[in-house]
Amino acid sequence: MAVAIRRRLHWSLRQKLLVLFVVVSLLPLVSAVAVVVTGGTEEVISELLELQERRAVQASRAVALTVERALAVLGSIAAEKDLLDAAAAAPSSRSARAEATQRLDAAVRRLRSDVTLEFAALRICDGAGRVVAETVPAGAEPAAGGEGWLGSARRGPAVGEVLWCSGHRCVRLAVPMRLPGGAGVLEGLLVTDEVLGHIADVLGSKHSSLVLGPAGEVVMGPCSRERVGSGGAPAASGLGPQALRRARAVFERASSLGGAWGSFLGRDLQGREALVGYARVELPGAVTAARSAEGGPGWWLLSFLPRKRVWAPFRRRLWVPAVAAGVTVLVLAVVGWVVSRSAVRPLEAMTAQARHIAEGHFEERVTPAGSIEFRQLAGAINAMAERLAEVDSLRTEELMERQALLERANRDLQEMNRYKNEFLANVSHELRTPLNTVIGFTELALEGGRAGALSERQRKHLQRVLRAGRQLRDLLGEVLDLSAIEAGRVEVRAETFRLATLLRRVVAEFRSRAAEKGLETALHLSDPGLTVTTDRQKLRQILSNLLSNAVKFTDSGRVEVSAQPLGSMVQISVADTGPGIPPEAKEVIFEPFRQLDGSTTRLHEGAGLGLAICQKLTRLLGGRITVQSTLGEGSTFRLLLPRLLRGTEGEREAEELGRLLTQVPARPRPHTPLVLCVSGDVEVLEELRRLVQDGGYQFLGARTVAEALNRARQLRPACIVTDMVLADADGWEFLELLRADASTAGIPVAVRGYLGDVERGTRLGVGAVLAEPMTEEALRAVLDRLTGVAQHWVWMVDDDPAARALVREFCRGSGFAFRAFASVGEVRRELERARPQVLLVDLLLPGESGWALLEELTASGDTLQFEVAVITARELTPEQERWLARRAVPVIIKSGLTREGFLASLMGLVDWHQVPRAAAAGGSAPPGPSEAHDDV
Amino acid sequence: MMSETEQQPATVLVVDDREEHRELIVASLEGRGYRMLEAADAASALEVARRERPQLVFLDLQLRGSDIDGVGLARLLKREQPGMRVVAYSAWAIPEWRERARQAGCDAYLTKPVELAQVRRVAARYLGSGTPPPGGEGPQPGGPADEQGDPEAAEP
Repeated sequence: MAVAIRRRLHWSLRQKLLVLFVVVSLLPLVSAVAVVVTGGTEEVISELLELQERRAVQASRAVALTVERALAVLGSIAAEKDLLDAAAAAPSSRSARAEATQRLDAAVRRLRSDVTLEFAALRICDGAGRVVAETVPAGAEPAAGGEGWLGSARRGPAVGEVLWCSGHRCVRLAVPMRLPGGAGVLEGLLVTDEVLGHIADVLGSKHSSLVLGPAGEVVMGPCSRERVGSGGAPAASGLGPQALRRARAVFERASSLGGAWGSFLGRDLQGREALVGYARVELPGAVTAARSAEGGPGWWLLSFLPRKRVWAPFRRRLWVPAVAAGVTVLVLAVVGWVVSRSAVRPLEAMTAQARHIAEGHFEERVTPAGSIEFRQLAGAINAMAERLAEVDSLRTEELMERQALLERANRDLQEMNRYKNEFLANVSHELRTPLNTVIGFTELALEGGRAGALSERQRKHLQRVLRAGRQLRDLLGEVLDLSAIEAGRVEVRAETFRLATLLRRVVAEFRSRAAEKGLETALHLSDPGLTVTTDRQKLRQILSNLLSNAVKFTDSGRVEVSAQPLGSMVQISVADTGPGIPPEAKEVIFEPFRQLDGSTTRLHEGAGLGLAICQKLTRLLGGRITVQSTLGEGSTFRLLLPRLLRGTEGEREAEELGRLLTQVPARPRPHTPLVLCVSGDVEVLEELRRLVQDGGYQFLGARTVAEALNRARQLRPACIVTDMVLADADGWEFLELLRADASTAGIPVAVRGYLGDVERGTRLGVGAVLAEPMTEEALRAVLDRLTGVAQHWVWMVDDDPAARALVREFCRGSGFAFRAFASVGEVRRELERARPQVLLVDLLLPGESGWALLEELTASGDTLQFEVAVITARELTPEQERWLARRAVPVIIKSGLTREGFLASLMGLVDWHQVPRAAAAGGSAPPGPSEAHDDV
Repeated sequence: MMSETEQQPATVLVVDDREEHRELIVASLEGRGYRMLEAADAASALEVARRERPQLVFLDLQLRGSDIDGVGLARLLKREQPGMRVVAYSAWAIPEWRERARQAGCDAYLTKPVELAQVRRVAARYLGSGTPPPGGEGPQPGGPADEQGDPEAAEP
């Protein structure tokens, strides 16, 4: 959600900025286009019209210049006297004409070098229209249609009139000249296309142009390369009638506008809208004079530019703003990106930091960065964080104070509880000490009394003392029990067992006491095979209490115990035929220090804590206890217990862990020795697993005897480490069964924790005892030794070779390596570089005595690293014994020493761990039990 | 030595700093053929134990005026003579002491005040009913395992 918002903000801000910059950068382009498209057009058109006008003027000048030049050429021809003479001689003969032509050619050649006008041909005719002379460039087509224009000349063309000949696409300038001397009129015809070229140069290819005579007749044109008109146009102009009409219309329009030049929007010869420019052609003086004589205004040049071509120049002009706009867009986009980035980045960083603060890091601060607004925002966030930190620290302080208060109260409570427990324990202890004397000697006195030393009265008195003493003793026990339960120091340990066995034992305990009072006892079991999973000790205590009460309060009749399963529960009833409990008392009998005691009932012994304890224990076991009673008939206490004590969360986890720990590995690793660890306690198993694996061995777990035996048989572990507490039996049972089976009798065994009966352990081949707390080193050393990886050393300093040989013999096959030294000096040297596990010191040695060595070793703290013991043949003096006892040095007496006794002593010496495996584990026959007594 | 042992009565050592508590045990086992020895402090107890090698020791766990207490003494005795039975004999009824005694190697725990019957049962269990027969029986199998399971010994 937060991410989505962030992204949306993030993008929108950038987008906005980018769009803004793009729009801003596009504005000049848009405005340029707008100017062109709208208001700009008229202005441009008028500008163009002006241009068109100027072009028309220029073109008209070009026309005029050409005409002027042509006139100059013809004038100079006319100046050729001989030529003219020849022409005047009326050349009738072919030879004469040839001569004339020759002369003309010569003249023309001369002219060409003088005159700038390019012309194609020149022809001179006489007044009758006969060609006097003519010059045509080689390869050029002879002038055709000459008759036509000569004819018109005969009709009296004006001097300087320019005729147009469509066939040659050129201007033919025919200029009539008066021959000198009145010899007649000669007409010269000059053919040139120069005028066309001039006009085209001036106007450009997009324009078309037209030269009109004074009356609007087409003199020359169209000068463009366009094909004008259509159909067989008879006119010299080559224009169709429609084109001619249009030309006329344009002419009239120009005429109406007046002036020597001008422009307007009109239509060209094809009828398209066009920009039209017009200008008067200023003809040379001679021509003008002739024209003036005829009264005409002279020639007009019209030029046309179709409107659709007007935009062409603008296209060229538009690229400038377009490129400018493009570059601007690009630049601004980059700038915009950078700006938006620099704007957004500090914002993002601040957002992340603010989020970090929001997660509870109120001591963090936002780094002010970016523009001023962001810095202000950062300041605001920091102020907020500061305030939050203040509030938070206040709150934390408050909480801590409160917690400290609670802790202190809790500590006080715990301390008080501890004091209470200590106090109770001490009181109990202090009361029990004199009580021991009271009860014990009273008993002794009563025993002596049987022999007749006491009167019956005295016996009764003493019995009262005894009863009161015992009552006091029981009370002390109950007080301690109750205090332990109430302090929550009582642990519930569930185990599965047959209920019948327990009930029989408890009932048997009270049978004799009941019989003393003349009571019958009975046990009814609806299902003798019924098993329950609960705390055996607690259940036993409850039942003992109930039975004790029943026997105590019942004077005649019977006490019956019965048990029957009720679904997932089991109901155990203890019924008596005692005095019964009045209804009002049923509520209070389970409360501590409440005992039903009144005038109507007998005075009973007991403090009344029993039932309170019963009820509390029953609750611990997840059950409840009820009483049903009729006064005078008896009471029945019913105990309703779950058959399966529901485990706590921790117990279920332990169960699961236990299941995992006792799994048989699918594929045992081949070269790692397998160590079978057996314990009913999952935590112990887990600890063993860790230590065994850390020690480089392979772990295999078992919790019950059957499990352990099966695994031992099937997987043949290199070594077994067993707890003495298994899930369903004790370690002895397991060890006995293990040794009874030939296939497992030889497996070395180490016992974890407390062994107790060392002799029995030795007999069963216990090779080591791992004391608690177990360390990895200790376990590893034991495993290494038991699996044959390492040996443990016993050193002995003794000057008697026989004694050394004896001990050497004892050590043989025991797992201990033996090394003997004859003097203190020897062993001291050896101690410089090595350490045994046990050093046995004889006290009477030649030279330096054993005492000195012991003194030295115990003083230096070396006894912390290995065990030192005295081995002596002699009885020690009391002073010597005291000396040794102060230094905690044990003594082994040589006389009567047996192998069994010696090895047992060694086990004791190494402080219950790293004890060598006895001969039994090595495969030889275990020593018989009778040998165990030999050292007495 | 072995032949001597066979003819000697079983030796019981009672270690308690209170004379009357020692007297109680001695008196309760009187006339049962045991050789009864007493010690009031740890040092003399150790001395007697080494010299006489008793089969059974009743040991008070708190010994006033001694260098080490009964627990330490029990540990030392068990180390030196693992075959010796050591029965703790204490007015401490709380589990901590019981556990301490167990750790020190005590075979049983008698809580004061004791019943004479308890004392006699313990003695009988570890020593036989009186003078041991020649080549006397060793401790009953399961003896040490019973140390806490023994209803009398375990009773607070």
